[in-house]
Amino acid sequence: MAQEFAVIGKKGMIDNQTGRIVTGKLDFAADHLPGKKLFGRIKCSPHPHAKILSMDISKAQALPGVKAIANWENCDVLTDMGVEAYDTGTTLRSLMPQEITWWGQAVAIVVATEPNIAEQAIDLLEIEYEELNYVIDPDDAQKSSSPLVGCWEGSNVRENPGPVVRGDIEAGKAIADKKATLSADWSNYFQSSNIEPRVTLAWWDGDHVHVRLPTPGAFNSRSVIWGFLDNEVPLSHIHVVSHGTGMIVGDKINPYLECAAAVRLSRMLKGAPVCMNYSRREFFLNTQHQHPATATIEMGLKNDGTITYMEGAFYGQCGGEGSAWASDLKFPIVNTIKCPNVHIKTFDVATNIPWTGIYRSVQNPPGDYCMEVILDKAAELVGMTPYEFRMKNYTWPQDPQQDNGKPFSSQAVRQNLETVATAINYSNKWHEPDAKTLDDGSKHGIGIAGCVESHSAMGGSIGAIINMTKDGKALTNHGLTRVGCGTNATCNAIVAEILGLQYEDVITGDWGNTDVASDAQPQWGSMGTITNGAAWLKAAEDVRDQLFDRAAAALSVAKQNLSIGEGKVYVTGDKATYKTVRELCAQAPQLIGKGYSWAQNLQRDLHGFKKGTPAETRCTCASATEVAVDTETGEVELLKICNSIDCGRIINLDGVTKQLYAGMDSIAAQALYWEQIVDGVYGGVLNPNFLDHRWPTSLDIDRETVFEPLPIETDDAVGPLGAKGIGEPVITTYGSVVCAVYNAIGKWITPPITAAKVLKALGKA
Amino acid sequence: MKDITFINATSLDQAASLLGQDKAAIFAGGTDLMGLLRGYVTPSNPDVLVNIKTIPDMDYIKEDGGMLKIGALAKLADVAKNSIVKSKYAALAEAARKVASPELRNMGTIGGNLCQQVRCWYYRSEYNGYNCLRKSPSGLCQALLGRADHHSIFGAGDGCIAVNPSDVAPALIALDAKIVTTERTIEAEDFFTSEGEKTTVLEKGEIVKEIQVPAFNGKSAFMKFAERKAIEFALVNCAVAVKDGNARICLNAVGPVPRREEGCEAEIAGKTINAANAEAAANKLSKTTVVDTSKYKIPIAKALIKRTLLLCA
Repeated sequence: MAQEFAVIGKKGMIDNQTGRIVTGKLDFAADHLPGKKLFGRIKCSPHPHAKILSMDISKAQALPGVKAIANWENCDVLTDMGVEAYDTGTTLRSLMPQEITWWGQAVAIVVATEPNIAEQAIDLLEIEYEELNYVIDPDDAQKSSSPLVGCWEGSNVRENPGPVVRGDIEAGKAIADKKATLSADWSNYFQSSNIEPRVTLAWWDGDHVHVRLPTPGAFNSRSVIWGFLDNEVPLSHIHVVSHGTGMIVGDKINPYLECAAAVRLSRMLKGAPVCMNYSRREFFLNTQHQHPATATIEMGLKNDGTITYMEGAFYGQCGGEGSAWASDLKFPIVNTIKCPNVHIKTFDVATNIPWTGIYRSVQNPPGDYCMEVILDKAAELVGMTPYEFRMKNYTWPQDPQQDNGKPFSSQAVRQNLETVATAINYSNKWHEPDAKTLDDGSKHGIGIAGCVESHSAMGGSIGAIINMTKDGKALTNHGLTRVGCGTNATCNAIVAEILGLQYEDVITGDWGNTDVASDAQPQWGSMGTITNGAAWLKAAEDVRDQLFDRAAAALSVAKQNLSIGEGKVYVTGDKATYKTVRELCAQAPQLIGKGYSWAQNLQRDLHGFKKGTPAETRCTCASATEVAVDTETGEVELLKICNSIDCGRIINLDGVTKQLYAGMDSIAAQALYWEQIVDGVYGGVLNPNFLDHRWPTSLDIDRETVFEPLPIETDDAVGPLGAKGIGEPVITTYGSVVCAVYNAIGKWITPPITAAKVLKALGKA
Repeated sequence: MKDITFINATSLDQAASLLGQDKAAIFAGGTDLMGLLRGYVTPSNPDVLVNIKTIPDMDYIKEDGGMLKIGALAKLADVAKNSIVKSKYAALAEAARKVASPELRNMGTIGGNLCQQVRCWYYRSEYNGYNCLRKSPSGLCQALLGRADHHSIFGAGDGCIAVNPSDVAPALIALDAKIVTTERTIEAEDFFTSEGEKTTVLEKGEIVKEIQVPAFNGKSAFMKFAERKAIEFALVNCAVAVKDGNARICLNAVGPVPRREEGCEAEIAGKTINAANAEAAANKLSKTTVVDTSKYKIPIAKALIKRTLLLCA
C-alpha cells in the first residue's frame, strides 16, 4: 500500500443526509401524500395448496370506503355511478394466481380510503377453495409419491444447468487413501427481517406514473414497472424515486405484487394515489426467504489431507413459487478448495412454503455452511484440525479460477483464515470435540470457516455525471439508492480524492431518482462500490482533465506538468504556482464530467496475466467463533466472533467497519435465531412476526465484546483504485458458529441452533 | 383494526358497569390488548374499550398493615425498581424486570401482566386461521398435532395446551400473594384458569384492584429462560421463596396455569440448599405429559428449579 491518499481510507465520511435520517426527517415512500391516498390490503390464502373456485366480493363491496377489489380474474372499481369492471391484467393475474401454492399467498387485494376499512373488507370476502394435497418437507417432496407442489410439471425437483465438471473423478479415486460420503443437513429457512416492509405508493398524472418505493435499484425497478404496464408506457413516463429505505438486504431489488398493484390499481382509479404498505404479516408471507440447503459430497482424501476428488450435489429448497436459486450453492466449495477432479450438481426442490429468492448473499451462506460442515467432517477423518485441513486445501492468491482459467483480481482467503485464527488464538484454544468444560460447567467450542464467495463482481456498464459548481464544489446525483452501507459516500470520496478536494466538498444532490441521475445498477451483489466507484472515478478524471486544461492556459504551463490537491491545481514540484479549483470553476462554461464503469478486466498486470485480461473479481472472507454451550438448558452463548474480509483498498473505513458489524449481526442471527416456522401438519406459517421470528437483542449478543471485525486491505486489480465491495462476505460466520457448537458438544446441529435442538442432540429431550 | 369507542373511566364502579356490557374490553397498559385487536385475534373484536388508567390512585406500591400492597395499575418498571420490592421481595422485582423490554415495562401494568392472554401461535393467528379451540366451540387444539415448541409439558387445560405466559405470576404465587378484585380477594395460586378463552377466574365486569403480598423476611429469587434475553416470553420461568427452611417453588410457561411444584418443595424442605440438594429437589418435578416438540422444556425446568433454589441459598 505504497500509494498515499488524502481522503481515501480515512474515517469520518459522513453522508450529508445523515442528519435527516437520524432526526426522522428523511422521506420514506409511505410518508408521502398524507390524507390524500388510498390504502391496499392483501387477502392471504388459508391453505398451502388450493384452487380458488369462486370469490363472492359483494359484502366487501358494500362496506363504505371500499374503492376497488382485485383478484385473479376481475378488478372491480367502485364509482359514484356503480361498479366498473376491469380485466385484472396479466401481471396481477400471475402474481395472484387462481392456484395457490403456499399458505399466506395473496389471493385478493382490497383498496379503501383507510387501512382499517381495507382490513375489514378483506375479512368479508367469501372464497370457495378446492383444497389440494401439499408437501412441506423437502425430503418428502423429492419422493415419487409426493404431491406435486404446483409450480412445475411432473416433479418437485429440477436440476440446474451448469454442473461443475472438472478433471477425472476416477483418477481422483485412484490416488485417494480414504473415501467418504459427507453431508450437511438442511440449513434454515428464514426471512430477511427488514424493519420497513415492502411498500409502494403510486399515482398517475395523465399518462405519467409516479412511484415511491424502497429499493436497492431505482432504475431496474423502473424497468420492472415498465413490464407491469406491458411495456406500453414510455420509460421516460415512469418516474421512480427511492429515498428512505428502512433496511434492504437484496430482497427489494425487484418490485413485486405491492408495486404492480399500486401502479395498476391507481391507473384504474383514475390516477388516485394508491399505497400498498404491507403489514408485517403480509410481508413475511409474500416476500422471498432465504432458501435452506443441503449437500452430500463424496470425497477422496490422501493421508496428508489433500482432497483428490469431490463428487456430489447441493439441493436448495425454493418454496412454492419455483424460483431457481440453488445453482450458486456450489460456488464456495468449487472456488475455495483446490481440487483437480470435481463433479458437482445443484438441484432446486419445490415445496408448499412461501417463496425463496434474492436475498443478502443468497446461496452463499447456506452453500458455505454445507462446505464447512463437510470440511470439518473430512478433517476429522484424516486427523487434522479444521484449520490445518483448510489451509492444506485452500486455493492460493495466484491460482486462476479452476474452471475458466481467469485470474482472481485479488484472492486472500488464506490470509483471511490466518488472520482470524491468530486473533482468536485458535492454535491454543482448539480441542477435540466435546473435550473442554468451562468453570461454569458449560462446554467450550471453537469453529473456523473461510470462503471464496461469489460477490463483488463488476456489474454492467453504468454512468456518472459530476456537475462542478461555481464555488468549486462537486455536485453528484447518484443513481444508486441509499440502503445504509455508505456506497454513495464511498463514491464521493473517490471523486474528492481525484479532484483534490475535501470530502465535504463533494455534495450528493439527489439519489435513487430516475429523473435526475444516470442509470445505475442495483445495489446488490456487493457490486455497488466497484461498479459505481469506477464510473465516478472516470467522471472525476474527466473533470480533472478539464481543470488541467484551464490551469495550463492560466499558468502557461504544459498540462502534463500539473498536479491537483488541497483544492488547487498547481505546478508539479512548485506548489506556490497554482490556481484554485474554485477559481477554475468560476469560469464559464460550467464544468461537467462524465464517466462510465469498465469491463471486468485487469487494470494492471497480475500473476503473469496482462492488463486487460478478463478477471474473476470476488470477495474472500473467514470467521472464527467461540461459544459456550449450557448442556442443562441448551443455551448457546457467543463468546467471540472474529471476521476477516478482503476489502481491496479501503475507501470508507467507517463504512467498512459498519458493514462488518452489521453483517456479523445478521449472520449470527441466522445461525442462532432466525427461522420461519412452517407447521408440518397444516402447512401454515406460525411466526410471521418479529416476536417469534426473532432478532437477537443487545442482551443476547454484546456486539462490542463479541464481534471483532478484521478487514484486511489488498489492492484489487479490477476495482477503482483497488477497491471492491464487501456488503455480503461475512457469510462464514454462519458456518463457523455451527462448527463451534459441534466442537463444544460433539453433535452436528442445523441452524438455527436452538435450545430445543441442542437438548435433543444431547439425548435430553 | 376496526373503529372502537374509547371511554376514559373515572371510577372502578363506572368501569365495572361499562365492562358488564357486551363487546366491551378493559384497557390499561394495552401492550397485550392492542396486539390482539390489531391482529384480529379475538373471535369478535370489542366495540368499546374502557380505559382504567384514568382512575386515580391505582398505581401505588407501599407497605401497609404488615404487607406489600401494589395497585393494579402500577407499571412493571416501577415494580422492578421499587426499593422495598427489591430489598424484601426480590423474586417479584426480578420477575417484573424480566418482562419484555424497558419500553413495554414502562407501559405494561402488573395487573395486565397477570391477566394477559396466551401466546400460542395457533391462537394468535390472524382471522382465526386455524379454527382454534379457545376461539371456537367447534375448534381443535391444533398445537397437539402441530408444533408445540412453546406449549405445555403438563397436559391440557380444557383441551388446550397453551401456557400461561406471565412472569410476575409465579413470583406472586411463591410469595403467597393475594389478588384483590372489585368483587373479592383471591389467593394468587387460585387466580388462574384455562377454562375456554379465559386465563383468570375474573368474571365479566370484575376488575383487579390490588395485589397484596404478606410480609416476607426470607430469600426469594426468579429466573427466566427464553429464546432470547429481552422482548420475549418465557419458555420456562421459576420463582422460589424460602423461609424458615421451607421453599415455595412455582413454575410458569410450562402448563395451562402457573403451578407449584410441591414434590420439589417437599424434597428440599428442612435441608441446606446446596447443589446436590437443589438438584435432588429439581428431579422431583411432577410427572409431565408432553408432545414431542415441547419435551426439551423438561430439562430446562429442572435446571431452573435447581438454579433458582441456589440463588436462595
